[in-house]
Amino acid sequence: MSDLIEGLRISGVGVGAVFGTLAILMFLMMGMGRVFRTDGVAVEEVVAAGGVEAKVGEGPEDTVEVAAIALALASYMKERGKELGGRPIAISGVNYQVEVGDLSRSPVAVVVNGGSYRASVDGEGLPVTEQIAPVLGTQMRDTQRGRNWRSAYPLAQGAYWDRRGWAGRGGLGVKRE
Amino acid sequence: MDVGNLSDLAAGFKDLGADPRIILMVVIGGVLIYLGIAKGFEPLLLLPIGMGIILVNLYPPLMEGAFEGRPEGILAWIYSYGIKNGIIPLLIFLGVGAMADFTPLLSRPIYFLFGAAAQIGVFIVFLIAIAAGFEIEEAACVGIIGGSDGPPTVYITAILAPQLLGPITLAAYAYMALVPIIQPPIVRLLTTKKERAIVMKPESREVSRRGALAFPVLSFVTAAVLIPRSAPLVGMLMFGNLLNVSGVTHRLARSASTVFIDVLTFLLGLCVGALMSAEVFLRPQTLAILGLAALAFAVSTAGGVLMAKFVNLFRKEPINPVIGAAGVSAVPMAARVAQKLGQEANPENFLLMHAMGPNMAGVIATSVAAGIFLQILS
Repeated sequence: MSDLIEGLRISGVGVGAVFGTLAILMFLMMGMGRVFRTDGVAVEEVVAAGGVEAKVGEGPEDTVEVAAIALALASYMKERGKELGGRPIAISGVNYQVEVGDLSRSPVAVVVNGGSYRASVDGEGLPVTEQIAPVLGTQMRDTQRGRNWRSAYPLAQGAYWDRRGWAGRGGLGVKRE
Repeated sequence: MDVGNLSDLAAGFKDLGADPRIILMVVIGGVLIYLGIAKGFEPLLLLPIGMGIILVNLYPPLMEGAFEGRPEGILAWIYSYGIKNGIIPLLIFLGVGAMADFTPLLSRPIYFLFGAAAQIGVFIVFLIAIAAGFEIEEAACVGIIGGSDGPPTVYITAILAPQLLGPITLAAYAYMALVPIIQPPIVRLLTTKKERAIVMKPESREVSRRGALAFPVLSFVTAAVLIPRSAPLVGMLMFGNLLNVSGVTHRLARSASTVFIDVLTFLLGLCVGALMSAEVFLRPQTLAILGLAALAFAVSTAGGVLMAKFVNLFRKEPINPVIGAAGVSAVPMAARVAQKLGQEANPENFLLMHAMGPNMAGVIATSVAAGIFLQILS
């Protein structure tokens, strides 16, 4: 009986100590998240600087890919209340002049170096901006995480980006006009 | 030729005939090897454990002197200088840290609470084990199985109840392999299909390099200050992780997470198997340990799920409660189970990376729980 009482005491202290320790870690990490905040910076900074850094040899294969990247950037920035406008984007050191049309109208027009493309989802057009933008914004970040992250969030949560363009169920069909 | 020496060659057969329990233990060892090879249940551990059981039961001198502090057999040496003093489990934890990715946890720190809640089974089963007649130190070792983490279980048992090291380690690793069977019914019981179908967005924020670097240091300092006896476990885990995230010790991180941990794992497995001689293993106490371990797993799983449901009461954007089950630290099986259950309810659900958050929190929480037991009982 005395062992059981001792056990109850240890359990009470133990549960409290485990929760206390992990709660302290939780608040520390929340604080660190604020101090070392990085979200939303990468894409906007590189666009504002007029270039997107990439390793040599990993640039887009054609302007269709550039159109898809431009569309993703525009959606991402729109989500944050900014416009891509007519600013050039640079990929692997190559500048592209891009313009992205109204994201709330389907299909969305994307112009890359004078070549015109139209983007829609499964041929039916993009959802309204408020719905598509956060998804695209997040996916653009996700493409920078490497293969493991993409494989963890494949297909059905929307499209994902690979060297052949947007892919997967619900992917964006970017077609040359 | 000395005819007496020739008759000694048959001594093994005589021993087998004299004690049929040896044959049973050899069969048990064979079954573990079979499960590892044919069914893929934790093969990295079940193969060495199965082989250790067969070796020590057919040739007991391999463990001669292990418990008297005068090791003579090779496995007795490894046990005395590697496991009994906790070196091998701690070094394995270093390798685990080097392999671990804490990013999903750091991107949503609320997951720390799920890992803590999933330790509830540890303390409840600790109490049940005391009521069942185990010594208080033994009960702590039985309870810690509910944390589903091998190295802390071995570490604490080697210190508090070395006589139970064999059955407890076997139970811990066997149930870890059975997570895909044990967890789903409990999760289904505690959640509705609608809850399991909740789709979660990808990580809410990215983790900066400075944040990833600060985490192992801050975690170790926090654990060492609050629960000093958890410092060896948390320290090794976080040191391994620091090697990984520092970006300047790739070679060390790669070694720690590959060859280093592999060698230690099979030494641990072989020795744990060698602790299971017939007279130690074939006792009612072993069956009781296996039963209590299953209960600890189940209660811990329930704790994680219920905590996720509780947290949802205060959130606008709900968390899929299935990922709470991954708070037991069976990495990555528990996370895979969450992914499977989520997708079963909604094919467009991808919970794997979310579930890795509570999973990693569970690893830390189990180390802290082990430290608490050591702090109070040793």
